[in-house]
Amino acid sequence: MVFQLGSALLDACVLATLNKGDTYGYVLTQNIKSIVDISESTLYPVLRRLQKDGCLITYDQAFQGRNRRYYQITPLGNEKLSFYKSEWKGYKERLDNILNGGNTNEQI
Amino acid sequence: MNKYEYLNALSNELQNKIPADEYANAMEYYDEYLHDAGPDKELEVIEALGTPQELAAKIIAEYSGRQEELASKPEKNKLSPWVIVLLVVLCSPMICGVGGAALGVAGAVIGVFAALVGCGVGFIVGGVILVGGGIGLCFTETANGLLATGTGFALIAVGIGLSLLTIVIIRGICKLIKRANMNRKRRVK
Repeated sequence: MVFQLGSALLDACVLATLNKGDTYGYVLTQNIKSIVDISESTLYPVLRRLQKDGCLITYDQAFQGRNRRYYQITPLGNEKLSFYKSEWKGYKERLDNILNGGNTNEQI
Repeated sequence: MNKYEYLNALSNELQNKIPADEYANAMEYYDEYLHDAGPDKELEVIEALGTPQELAAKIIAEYSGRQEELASKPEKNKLSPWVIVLLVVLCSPMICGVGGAALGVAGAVIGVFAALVGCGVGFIVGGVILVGGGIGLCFTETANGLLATGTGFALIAVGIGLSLLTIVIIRGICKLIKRANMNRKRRVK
């Protein structure tokens, strides 16, 4: 993997994944790991911050006699996700423009 | 190192370095994480997490960073309504004094104006009456009649003079107001 995700895009990926359904820490990490290069400890701070910002909530469910903590996106989290998606669209277009040799006539 | 040793070490590193709820949250997360990894992935994950010291340092740093972010946000100026009431009460003598003076000045200005207008009108009206009466008197007491008529005309003249003065003053004030407005607009631009 050549490119690194900034924190905003990481937030967006987490929120997008949670939008598809509630999940727990390990599965969430493995899902995102399959798409972008993150370490095992990358997501804990992201999840903590999103929780403090009110973009997600947690609830506990018993599983095989142990506790499993699930993460769930909130309406505010959904708003944030929509915002990130529209920002990403614009950003992607501008990047494509530069990479494909656009704006060659403008002198900097 | 197996997961129990790892988690114990992590716990020792974290304890008392961050608030209790943060500590509990972090321990819960990594306890679950290592268990969900399963026996086959466990060692791989422990390796990837780094030493307990390194992981603890990461968790503590992230928590501190969050606190700094919260602290740097400027607090909105909270002026409670009670403070405002108190300020008004304390300043009330001054407010009354200044207010009274302002009213006094306004009253004086209005008074002078009223006097000008009143005199102007009064002189004109009085003058007209006197002219009328004087002309009438000319037929009987010519000298007195002429005196009255003359005085009457003089009063009319003074009255017209005062009225013109009032009009000039009003126009002057309007011009000053217009100029002040234009200056303000020019400065804003």
